[in-house]
Amino acid sequence: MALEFSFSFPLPLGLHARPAGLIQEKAEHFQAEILWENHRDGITADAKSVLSLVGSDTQYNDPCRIRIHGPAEKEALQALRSLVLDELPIKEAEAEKFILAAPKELPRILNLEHAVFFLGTPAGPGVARGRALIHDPVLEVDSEGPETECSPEKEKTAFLMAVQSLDTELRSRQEENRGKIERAVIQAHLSILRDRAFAAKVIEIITVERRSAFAAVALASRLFSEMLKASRSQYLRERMADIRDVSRQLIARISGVPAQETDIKLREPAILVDEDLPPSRFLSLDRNLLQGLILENAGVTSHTLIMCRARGIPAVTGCPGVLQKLQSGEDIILDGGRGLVIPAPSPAVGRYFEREMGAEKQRNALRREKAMLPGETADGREVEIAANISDPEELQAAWNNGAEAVGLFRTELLLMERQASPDEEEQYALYSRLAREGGNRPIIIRTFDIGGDKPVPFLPLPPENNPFLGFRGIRIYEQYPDLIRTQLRALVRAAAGGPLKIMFPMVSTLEEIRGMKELLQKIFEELAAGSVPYRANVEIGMMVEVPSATLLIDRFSENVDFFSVGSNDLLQYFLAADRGNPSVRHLNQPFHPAFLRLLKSVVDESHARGKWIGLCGEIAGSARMLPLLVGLGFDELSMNYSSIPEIKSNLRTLASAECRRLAETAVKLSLGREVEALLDSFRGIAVKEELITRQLIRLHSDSRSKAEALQELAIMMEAAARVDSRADIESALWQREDTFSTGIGFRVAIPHCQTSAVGSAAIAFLRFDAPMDWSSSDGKPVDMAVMLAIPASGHSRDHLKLLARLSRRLVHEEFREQLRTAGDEEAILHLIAAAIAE
Amino acid sequence: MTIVAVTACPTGIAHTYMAAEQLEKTGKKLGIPVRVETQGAMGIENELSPEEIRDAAAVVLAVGIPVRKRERFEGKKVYEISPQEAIKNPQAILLKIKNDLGS
Repeated sequence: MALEFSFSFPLPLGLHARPAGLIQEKAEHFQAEILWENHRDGITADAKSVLSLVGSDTQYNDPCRIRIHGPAEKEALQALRSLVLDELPIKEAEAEKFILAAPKELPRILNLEHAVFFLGTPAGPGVARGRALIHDPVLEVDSEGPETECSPEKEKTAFLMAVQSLDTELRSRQEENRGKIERAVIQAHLSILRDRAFAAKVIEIITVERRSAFAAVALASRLFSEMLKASRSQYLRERMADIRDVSRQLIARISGVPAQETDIKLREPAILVDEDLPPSRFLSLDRNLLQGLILENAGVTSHTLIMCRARGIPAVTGCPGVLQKLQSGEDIILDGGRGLVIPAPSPAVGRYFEREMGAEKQRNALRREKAMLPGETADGREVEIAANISDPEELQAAWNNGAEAVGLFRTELLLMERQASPDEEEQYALYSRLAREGGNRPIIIRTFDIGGDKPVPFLPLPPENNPFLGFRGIRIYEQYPDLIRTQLRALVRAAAGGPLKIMFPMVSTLEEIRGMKELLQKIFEELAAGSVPYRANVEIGMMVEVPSATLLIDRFSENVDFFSVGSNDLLQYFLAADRGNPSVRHLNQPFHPAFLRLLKSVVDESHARGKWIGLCGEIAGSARMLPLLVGLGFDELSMNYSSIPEIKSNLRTLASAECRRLAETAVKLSLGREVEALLDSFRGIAVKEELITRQLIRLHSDSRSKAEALQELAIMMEAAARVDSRADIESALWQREDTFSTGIGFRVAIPHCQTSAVGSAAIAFLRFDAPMDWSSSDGKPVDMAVMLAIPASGHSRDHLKLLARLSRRLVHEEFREQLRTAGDEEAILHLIAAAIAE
Repeated sequence: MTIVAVTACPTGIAHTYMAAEQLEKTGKKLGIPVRVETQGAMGIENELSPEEIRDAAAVVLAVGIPVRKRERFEGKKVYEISPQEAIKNPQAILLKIKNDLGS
């Protein structure tokens, strides 16, 4: 009997090498034959081959089916189903968040200075200036090597030895590299290297066509590259680079050329210019010396460029012919956000971009600073913003993104791909590391949440017809007492070193929680008897994900210290709709008023019992849901850490009373789409911004030209967090200058604009050390600039009136003289305040 | 003799009001009553009444964009300048009008 399940493919970028690698890995665990059928193009792939999977050209929402035939069919089906529908979408969302913002306008300084520049595709934001290092590419893979008389046996051995040697090297490289993305890229290369379709093809060419190993690898590489080239997805086409990269390294080994000889050596800081840069070469570079990267034709989502962005290295790609246009050793500027390459910049161009570099640094610092602000509404209601993680490697990234706690640490990963359960010491070491690196921030560790849908090799859980309603989470602990005892011992011991909390999954009855409390009591006694340090008052919590638990919050409150709503499971259990099933997916929606009522009763009930309650499902990271979740009263929201900066900064603009009213209205509605409409019309913004602040005043500007002055104003607006991107307001100011100069005479300029870049009206003030030309109507140089900016829509009439008054005052000589002679920023603030007062 | 004026510029937040202020201020200095309507980001403000227009000796349009309700000035003596000129040298236009009218 064969088993199968149908689904529509959930990844927006299609089935590319990374997810294909994960599917292949999972499939390898099972002996059964596993086929991946894409019903759109009719291609059937072997799920145990990455290249075959990738070759199925599976795109977003393609109708697909997995068919399994052989031993342990059910387990294999469950494992693949949860991988494809649940795990992959989460993993992929983290992997690629880079959005290419095409520059609205190039800096005017380039025209003004008649600068030579090349425009490519933005591939890694940031500005760099340094010496060019040109690397001439050698396309090793395009040749097929010397044709010699060869014995298939010898060639086959040569190929297999090369594979083995590269495998060893990649694995050791993987250990050297701590970065998550770097390791994932090496993993993708390993999966190509170990791919059975690839190896089979090479060996077939060697034995059937009697070609050399060199030629066979080159031909197979070309064959699979062609296959990817036919793909509709840009992303997949760019995976060709990975296949070529692996093949190049294999060929280097087969032909006895040490790979290092083809590597690039950086001896001093430089901007590397290359046709394309294979990921393996990127990894072999000294990345501390790599200031930037200019590539003629690498794909924006190539692994090399993904790694570049992860490391914050500015990069530009899609610059054909740039190798011929630049010289090694030449001074160049690279603006990765705009896709600009500027050779031999003039002093003015140099100054402009040096300032951009400074502004970029300031902007990043500001972002970090903002991320570190407490999670609270504008009126000070605290909502802890926490991260969901499953790997201690992710801790630092979570803190850097502004997580105030870990709301969910999944421990299941400890059990995956293992032949035996990790022992107490291993677990203790891991949990202690979390406690230590948490730096006093609370970390909620969820005990093993495994079961039918998340099979573990060493736990012989029986196959089930309906694993989601089956033997999983806390329910298996009674049958596997050692598993949970070991974990709890390790946890309470580690909790002595930091604020770890324990949370149990899938709780549906009081007996389950009481059983765990009794077990903990016994563990405390054992540890005390053995004089082993532990924390007796460790906080105990439970997931609220089974609907029955939501109606017993009062009783559970007597047994636990906190709750966390697992909204993904609660939603599908409560609405009886599986989000992986295309036919009922539309019913699985968090806006359902019944679901909101359920959440409200859970929050109200736990607060009535003096317990705090968080939420750790996908909706915690939804900016759209945020006002509603705040209004419902959650104390904590725990999410994928990449969502934290956005959610926290949104939270800080919300008015809590407005959110509460919103939630009260929402639970009274009848339809999900009414709730959505309500959310879309919600304006609970409580932040009121001043027209001008000290940050927007500078009395000693060193700008030397109008171009620099407008840049400076834009940078000031960005630093004061009045615009998201300085480039937007800079270009809006220039557009206004284009109609006619804002140099009004009297040595004053009033650059101004109406733009969606600003959220509310603003005034900024600059006094120049050296007067500059502004093409003023009286032809005289300008020694100060007063900038006015208003939003494109929704501006308040009050603000406009104030700006009008200021403009009127500026034609009065005595006011201008006061601005020219004011001793400090405070005095300017007073002058402007007085001018715009009635 | 009174003069009526309309000021307007592309963004409607700076030149419109500067020009208006200059015309009013300079008129006062020269002893010529000047009534100014602004057409800025806030729309039409201090709108000229039909009587004011009827009684005015001349109309100054200090504008960088097309004037709204221009038909009101049909048959009147209209002086059109840019808002920059009104800001830079308001005296020149007012004296020229005075001169033209021979008063």
